[in-house]
Amino acid sequence: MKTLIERKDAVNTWMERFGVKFGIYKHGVFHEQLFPFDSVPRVISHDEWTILEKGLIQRCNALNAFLLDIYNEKKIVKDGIIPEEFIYSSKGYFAECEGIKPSKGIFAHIAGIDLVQAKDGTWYILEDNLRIPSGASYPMIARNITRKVSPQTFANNHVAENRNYSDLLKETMDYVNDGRGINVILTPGRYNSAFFEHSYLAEKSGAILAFPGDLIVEDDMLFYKDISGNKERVGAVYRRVSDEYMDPLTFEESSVLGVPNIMQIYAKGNVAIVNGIGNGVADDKGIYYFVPKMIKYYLNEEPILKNAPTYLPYFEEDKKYVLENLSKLVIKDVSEAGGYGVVFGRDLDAEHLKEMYDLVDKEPRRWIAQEVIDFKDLEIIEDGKYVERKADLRAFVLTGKETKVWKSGLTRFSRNPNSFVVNSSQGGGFKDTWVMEE
Amino acid sequence: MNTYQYTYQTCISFDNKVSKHFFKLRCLPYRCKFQTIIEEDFSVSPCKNIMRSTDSFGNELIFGSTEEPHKSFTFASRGIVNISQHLTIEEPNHIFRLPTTLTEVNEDMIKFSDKVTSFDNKNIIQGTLSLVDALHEKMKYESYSTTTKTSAIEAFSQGKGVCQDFSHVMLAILRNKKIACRYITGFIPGEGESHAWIEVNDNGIWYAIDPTRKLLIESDYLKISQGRDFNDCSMERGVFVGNGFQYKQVHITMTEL
Repeated sequence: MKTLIERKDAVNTWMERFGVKFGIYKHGVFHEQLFPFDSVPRVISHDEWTILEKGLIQRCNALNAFLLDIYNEKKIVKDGIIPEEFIYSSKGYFAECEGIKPSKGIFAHIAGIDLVQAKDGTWYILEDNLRIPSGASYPMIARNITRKVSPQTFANNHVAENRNYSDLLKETMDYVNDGRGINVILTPGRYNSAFFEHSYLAEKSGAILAFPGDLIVEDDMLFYKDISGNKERVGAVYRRVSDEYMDPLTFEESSVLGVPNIMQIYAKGNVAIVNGIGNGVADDKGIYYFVPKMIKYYLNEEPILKNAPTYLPYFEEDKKYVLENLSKLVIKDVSEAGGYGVVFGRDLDAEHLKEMYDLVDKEPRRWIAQEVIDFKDLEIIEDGKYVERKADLRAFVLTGKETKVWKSGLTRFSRNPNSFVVNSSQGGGFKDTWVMEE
Repeated sequence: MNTYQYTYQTCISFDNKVSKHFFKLRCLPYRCKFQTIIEEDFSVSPCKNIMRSTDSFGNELIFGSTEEPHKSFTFASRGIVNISQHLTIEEPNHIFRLPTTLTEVNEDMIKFSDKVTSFDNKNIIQGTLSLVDALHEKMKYESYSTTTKTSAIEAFSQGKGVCQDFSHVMLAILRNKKIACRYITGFIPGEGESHAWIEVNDNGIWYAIDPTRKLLIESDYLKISQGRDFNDCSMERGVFVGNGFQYKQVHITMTEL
């Protein structure tokens, strides 16, 4: 452990050489930056992990059941568990997906579930990411490098393997591919913030990295065309292009990132799309409130993991509470991602507080409010000293034949001592996450 | 019941050759109880990769792509259909009660509709027809006065539009009253371009109303597609590689046999 920490700079140098980067748009200009790594791992004990694992599997099973239901029978709406306008006015809901039953009935194959741990040790779910959650490659590669730099650390500690994420990914893709053809990872291209990850995962999982234009729909099937014009049938596409850009003939017409008419053959069940189209309706920050209800409704089980205490101004009673307690709550815009649209009431002056008050009052459906959780801080090393910073954990849950949780995760921390926002796009760093065996 | 023969043809010509042309067409009759298809044919040229399916609204789709460089692209369909009164017994899907970007209302539209009817008498169809009549005092029909991207609010504010706009304005007003209604594209007897109208749900029954011609539709309209608004029903969508302008010519005929 000590060697690992002493050799922190060596690790970061290696990362730079491997090209572990993420891209960011600032004022419309593309920059690539290193994702700063901190060598002190987050350690999760075997017992603690067992509970987390169960809770995450339960949550993702319910979310998958919800997606299949909402685009088909809609029982949860008919039974009055979730108000209909909550679903149908969500930006992530696509009428174009009505009636679609994806391969093996799975919509959310790769879920990135963000959690935080409070000072008392309780884990809370912060948000579900069921569209294109990124970040799994960073701990994989960090582990690879740290094992090289400090092999002794891993001989002395029984840390669960995490370099097998690509095997889990392959297993999931193979299951929904169902022998139809090859697996591909569709990247929007070089200037996407997670391009490094797309190419890394393709290499490690044995999938072909496809760029826009490489995929074509013919004879009701999807084909990958290589540089010499040879065509090979594709059975599963792990796409890292957002829903709106996936099919210019169904969604955003100007998109050059997608595959024209892929929606038609997806609806016919001739290709698996990982993750499914239209998943945004389930990871909407407003729908989040209803996930514990989904667990009871679909699985008839009590939720194992807790949501952060959340209020929906959509309900009169909650709205009253939110407006009265605005200054102590976190307010989130339901349609924003990546740490954008998150406002802490206590940071607002009187004028901005009034502005926020009016916004919530006028457009209650657009916001959720949460109690501020007293995070358990994690130690990081800064200028040779240990300091404490806010951190979260993105757990990756993969659903194929079974639902499995990757025994690691992306621990992100805020480098700014006063900030609670840990997103990489907001300048945070990351740690490896050690899940202990026994 | 009436029997009709229809022909439909769209020809797109380009200034310069285009390649990699991808398309999606909705130009075959809608499959439902009041329409029985007796004959049906279609063609797309130049193109070898042609596929069929239905979309999430139940509309028939023809889709595909061509990599053959071309300066003109033609698709056509023809057929014979038996049509009876446009009535469908079906509980409405929630999404037909919610506005889309093309079918939002503003204060003026709400004021206008409140003056005409409150829908208090529970007769939704009667109320809709009175609104349609009143709407013609606010908006006049004028060819080429709007585009496919014109919203209900824009059309209502400028006081003119075509069948698409009359339909969007009605949908916007009805949805504001939480009445389920949908946009319909189809053909009417005669010669020319496609037509647009609406269907309104009253107690589990969909009635067809033509806001442009101010009437309750019986059995002389041919329904092609349905959706929330124009975007769900567009007869042709395409993307291609190439530059230059494109010109589109549409020709439709429908005659009673």
